[in-house]
Amino acid sequence: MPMSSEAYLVLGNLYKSYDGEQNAVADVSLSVAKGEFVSFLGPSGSGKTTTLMMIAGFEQPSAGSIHLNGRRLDHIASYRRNIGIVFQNYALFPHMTIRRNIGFPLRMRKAPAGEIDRRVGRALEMVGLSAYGERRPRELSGGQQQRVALARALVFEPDILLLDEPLGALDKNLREHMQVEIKRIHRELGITTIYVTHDQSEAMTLSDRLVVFNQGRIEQVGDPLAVYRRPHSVFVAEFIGDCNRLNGKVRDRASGIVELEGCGPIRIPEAAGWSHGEDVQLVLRPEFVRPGKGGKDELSFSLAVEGVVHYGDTAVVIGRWGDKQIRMRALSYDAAGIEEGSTIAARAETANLWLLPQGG
Amino acid sequence: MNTAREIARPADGGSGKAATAGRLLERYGTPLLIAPAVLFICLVFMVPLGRMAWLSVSDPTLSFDNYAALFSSRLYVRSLLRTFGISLVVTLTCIVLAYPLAYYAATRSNWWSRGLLVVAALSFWISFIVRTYAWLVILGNKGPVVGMLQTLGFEPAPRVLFTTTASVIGLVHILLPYMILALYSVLVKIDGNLDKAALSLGATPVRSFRHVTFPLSLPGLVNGSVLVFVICLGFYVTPTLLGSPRDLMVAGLIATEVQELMAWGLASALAMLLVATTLTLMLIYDRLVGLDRLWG
Repeated sequence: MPMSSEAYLVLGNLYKSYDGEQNAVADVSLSVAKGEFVSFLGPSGSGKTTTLMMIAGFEQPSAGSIHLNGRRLDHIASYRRNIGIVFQNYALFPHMTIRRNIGFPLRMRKAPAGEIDRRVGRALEMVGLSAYGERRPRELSGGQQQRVALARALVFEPDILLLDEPLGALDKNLREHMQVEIKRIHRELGITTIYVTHDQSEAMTLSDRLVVFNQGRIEQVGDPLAVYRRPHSVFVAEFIGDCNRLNGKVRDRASGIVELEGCGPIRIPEAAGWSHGEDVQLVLRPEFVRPGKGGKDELSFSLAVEGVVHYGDTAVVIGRWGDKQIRMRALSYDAAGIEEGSTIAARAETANLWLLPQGG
Repeated sequence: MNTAREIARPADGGSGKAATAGRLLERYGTPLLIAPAVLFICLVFMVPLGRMAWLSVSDPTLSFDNYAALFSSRLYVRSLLRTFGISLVVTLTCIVLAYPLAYYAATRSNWWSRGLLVVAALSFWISFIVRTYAWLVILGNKGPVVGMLQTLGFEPAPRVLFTTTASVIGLVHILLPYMILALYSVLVKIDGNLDKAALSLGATPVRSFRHVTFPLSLPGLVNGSVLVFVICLGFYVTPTLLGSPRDLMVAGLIATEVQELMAWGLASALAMLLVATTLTLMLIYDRLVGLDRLWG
């Protein structure tokens, strides 16, 4: 993947407030490398779309700056920014054929007719819709319309591609298909891409880097797996995946001992980063808990099973460790013998355990 | 539905009459429901219209003389052309005045845009006769318009009331809400992201309007224009009260024929011509847009 480490898109302390009191976006700073695929992930109202709209030029920042490729963007009109955008509802022009839709940005740039034809043809080919050029948007399925929107946003070779929940309106199978498609196109063109979504699995599969938004601020930025394994806050831990949380106190940082409320002491290398006596909470993802007796570098405990929910491929076992409820997600195969009312041995690699401050 | 009734039938046993009534209602329900309206329209509209059509070829003699007279007299032809001309001017003026307003109301959602719509709707509900009389006062010799012209140094001030200009002003005022609402109902349904998409693709706001918003608003524009033009063609009260008695529109001319000359046949022929014109416009409209979309 063509990617240089130097900053290509730079957001500097962006703020956006509609009423002068509450910030829809607060102190958002981010730098994106050329060719990178970055996802903005967060619940609705978290500021991710507002940030995207400020990059696109449809919202004016209340404070802060946006630079793209060394050029200051935030005082440039949206139509001069050379940014490709795909909207959730496609926003295809209903009165134009597919060809004319895709040719629109080229006509606006006064490209010669022959060149328009050639480039529209190539764009149609790229999204596999060559046979549909003369149709109208409403004659196409949702997935096809989305591909047209993608072709239209790319045909004029924009400096950056912004996707605003582009797959939100599609059903599950089509969504997975389109994810592969978007990934392929990104790989082929090497275009810097910002992808806004509230779907964590979508963000995990697609991105080089994840930016988690919450209440107008960036909660965490990082490699998707790193964010998943080492969330910086309870919000991130619970938004990206599922987690068990157990309160405790650091007893001995040298040997990594944490006393868990109601469960007793455990040994965990992460404790080294904390000071003695600090209140912490242990983040334990259900999928990191496995049945069986633990060995070296593993946390072992017994789980009094209260219920088993089968999902087909996986099963969730709900049980008690001491007086705390713990969920364990196991493959159906591994969960086959586990029955309600029994007590089983459970384990989790200490490398997969993570500590957060209490109340964070 | 069916199953429910079949299950219910054995239970109601003896009351076969109720079941028969139910079946009748199910079978003839729709015709029965629309019958009153159809009957009413037939009695008060179709029958008189037929009688008028008959009058136009039978009074005073059974012939097409009335129609021949219409097209051979410069008075009638000029009145017809004037009617078309005024209707056209009124329609165009309405478009020019209504479009920006409807666009603003449809694309913003603030206190102002809602207020504008309320005012437009409000003038819909105030009788056009009241509004016409208001213009009689405003444009009259002692009214504010003439007064203003005098202050500006026009001496003697030009006459405004009882001119074609006055009838155009009155008609525009009365028909403007139709145009505003016709345009608004279409503009408000245009997805706001389309404009954003056009901007992101490199269109200036003006070009985005020209290539995207305006073409998509055409159905509303055609709707409003047909409504205003057709209503204008047959408008009687406002041109009669505000306009020049020498430059009559067709509706005024028809009234004169009947009230002063008792020429029922000629008046009927004129009216039929108006009906035919309106029908032709409707047919063209049906072809272009579809009649079912006339009211938004």
